[in-house]
Amino acid sequence: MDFASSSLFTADFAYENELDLSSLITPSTFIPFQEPNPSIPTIHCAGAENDGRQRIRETTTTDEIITNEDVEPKNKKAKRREIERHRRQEVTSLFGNLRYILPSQYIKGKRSSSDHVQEAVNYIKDLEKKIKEISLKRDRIKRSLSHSSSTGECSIRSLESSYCSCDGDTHINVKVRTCLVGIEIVASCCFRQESCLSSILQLLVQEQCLDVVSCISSRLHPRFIHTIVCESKSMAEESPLVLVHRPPTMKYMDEPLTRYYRILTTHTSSDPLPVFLSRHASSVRAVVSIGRFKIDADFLSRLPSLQLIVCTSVGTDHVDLPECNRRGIAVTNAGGAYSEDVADYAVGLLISFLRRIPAADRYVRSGKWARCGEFQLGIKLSGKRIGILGLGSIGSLIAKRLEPFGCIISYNSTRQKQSIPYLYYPDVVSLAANNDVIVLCCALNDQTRHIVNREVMEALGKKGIIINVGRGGLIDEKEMVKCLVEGVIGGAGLDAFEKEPGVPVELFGLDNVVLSPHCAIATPGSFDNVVELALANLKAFFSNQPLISPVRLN
Amino acid sequence: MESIGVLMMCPMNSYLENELQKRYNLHRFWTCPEKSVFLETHRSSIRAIVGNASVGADAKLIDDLPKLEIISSFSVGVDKIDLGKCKEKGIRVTNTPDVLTEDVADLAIGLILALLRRLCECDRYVRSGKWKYGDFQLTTKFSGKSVGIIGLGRIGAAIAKRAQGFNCPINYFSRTEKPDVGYKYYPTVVELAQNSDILVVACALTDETRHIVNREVMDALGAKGVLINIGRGPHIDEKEMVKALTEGRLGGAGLDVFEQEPHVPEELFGLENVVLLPHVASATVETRTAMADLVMGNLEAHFAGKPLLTQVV
Repeated sequence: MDFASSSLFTADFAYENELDLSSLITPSTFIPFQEPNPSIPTIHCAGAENDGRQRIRETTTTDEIITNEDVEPKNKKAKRREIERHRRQEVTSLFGNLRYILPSQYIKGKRSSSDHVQEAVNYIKDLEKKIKEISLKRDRIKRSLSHSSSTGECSIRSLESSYCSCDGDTHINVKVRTCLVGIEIVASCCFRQESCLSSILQLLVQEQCLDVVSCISSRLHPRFIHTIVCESKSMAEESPLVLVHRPPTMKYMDEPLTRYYRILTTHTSSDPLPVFLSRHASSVRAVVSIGRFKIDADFLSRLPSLQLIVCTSVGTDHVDLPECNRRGIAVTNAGGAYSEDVADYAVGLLISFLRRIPAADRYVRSGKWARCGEFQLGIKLSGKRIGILGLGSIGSLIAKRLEPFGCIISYNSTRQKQSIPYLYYPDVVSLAANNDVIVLCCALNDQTRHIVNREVMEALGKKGIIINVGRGGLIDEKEMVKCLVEGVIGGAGLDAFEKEPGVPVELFGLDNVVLSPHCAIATPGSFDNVVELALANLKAFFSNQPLISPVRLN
Repeated sequence: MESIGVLMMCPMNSYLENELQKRYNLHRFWTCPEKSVFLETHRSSIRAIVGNASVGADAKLIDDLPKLEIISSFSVGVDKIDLGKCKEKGIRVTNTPDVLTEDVADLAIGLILALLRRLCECDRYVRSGKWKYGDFQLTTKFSGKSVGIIGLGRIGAAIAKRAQGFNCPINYFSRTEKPDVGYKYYPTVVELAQNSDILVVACALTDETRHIVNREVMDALGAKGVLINIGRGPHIDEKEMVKALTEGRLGGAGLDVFEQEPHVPEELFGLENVVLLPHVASATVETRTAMADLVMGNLEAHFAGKPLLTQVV
């Protein structure tokens, strides 16, 4: 086939069809570099015409020279001319072939012969580089396919041993080889093993430098043959591995994380957690902690390379902070991502309690308003004295919201804050004694555990109200239930409990409580904020910049 | 003191009842078996009526009591009193403004929070034991949402002030634009509804404002908008609202008042996106006491020939 004359022949075509191109560059077409000689006609290569063929324009001065010379060397000259013409033809076909073979980005703007030869060399070098990259990827794929996968989510080996009720060959056969665009995986499995293809695809999708380009499945009874072609993406370096420690239902961080990192989840492996960590997470430098799963000293001990824990909650009481301090592990939390929503919710709980909104709503829906007359009176909010325990970002937003209601704000905090217009009380008992409502929005730690105890509740008094949007552990819950039942305090609005989702059953029958299933943060906007913040903290960490929302460890 | 006959229209507040009982010859209208007979008997002794938001004094009643001098309403809204007839006959009318402004505004915000953050649902969820089986759903953020107020009077302004603490931009509709308030004015209720996430009814009920929130307004508010009513039931075309809520054309409603109180459309009972309250906007011990004192104070001033405290007509 005369490639050069075919208008269908392009470099891409050749590439896609695995054409062996080496035969096109023959020894006879190799031209040694020559100094430009005025007696030798120079060949100018014009730009490619529409049909891809090249036109050559040549000038020759030989005719002039000939008329002045004798006839004797005429044969020699004729021979030389013959050689020159032959050479020209070879050069023509060489450049013709080169212009057809090289992809457009290599020939664009190039006109001279030496440029074309140089571009051909560049092209060969680029191809060599690509082949090297792809073989590395192929090797890695091969390794991870033959061992259990890094996510523990699915492994081909476990599929091979999975039960299949048919009599035929249940063995899964996987072959990986390089192809033009990247790698090609051919997997054959028994036709009942439906999860085979999805398991392989799941592994590939997690592989950050491969894009699945095509997947063809054909049935060859009783087996399926899946042919998957993946294109390799060139990546400067492998993205970091991040461990995600979360309950199965809280998936909202997974997709955002996989845009930048490889992730490893702790809940998907059948291995017990310590084994899983030791086996797979020894190189992990960062952990994302979602929900209330504990991160204790034992967990930390299995992550020798750990340097950062990113919490999606504001509270960090589930993390062994002293141990992190000892190990030099930084911890970040949700900062102010939730603050507005929690502050809104705290005010909502307070108004709902004072004005008996949930009970009144039940009263109407049950038809009692029509039958039994007016509902009981509530309590006025305006003018109430509100004591805020913990004037952090949530506490100050609560204060800001309650001020226009005519409430009088005071606070207790670890430190008195300068230039704050609110009255400071040095301890919780005096805060309770001088306020109608105490709102708990401080961190839970050893100093604040059960900070609201019997003494505080007695100081608050029988008209006093507790609003808790912090942690259940801030209140001595057993005592609180007693105080509510006995009327030692007036009532409570509670979003957090000591043993969530367990709630003391005595509260269910009480009129003077508003109960809430720990959802003060739960709006879509809050989750968007915390995702953004977690990613920002991780980015800062991996690029050695200061963390955005670090938590004090001591 | 000669016994001045005071007719109380319905049970409204036991403190007020007791105080009235002490000072006047109190007749409890709701306890009379034969109302027309009663009116015949006492027509010459009743000089004052005490009504409230549910029961006032219509033209017929006013005609039946020729010695009527003053109607003192235990509410700020006087839509249940035939004001035209009172003007005609020179009968004075008083109400209870200002003392309840804060409570009503507090409840408006409370309704918004309870509705958007599903506080009533949350409380039910925990008490039913469902929390053991799963977390509650995500709810809607309040901070930053735009609040559109119909009527920027005392109550409307108080609501605006509170909503600003939540970083909410404030829009309003009013009979006339108020130049110094710093909130965005819209000349029609439809435009207000189009440009607000939360629409609050806080104006007086008159012939012009009846059904001021109609289908067009609710469509403009839309499936992501919520409606809050702490005004009067007839401000909203209730039939249309129920349809809009059940069909999902309106995002939600927080209602303290209804067209036929205490009857509430039963279709609303099954909806998650509504909060239903039994007209409690001013129902706190402190405020009701202050309102009662104001009623007493107005009556006292009238019968002593002194200027009225809070005269409407």
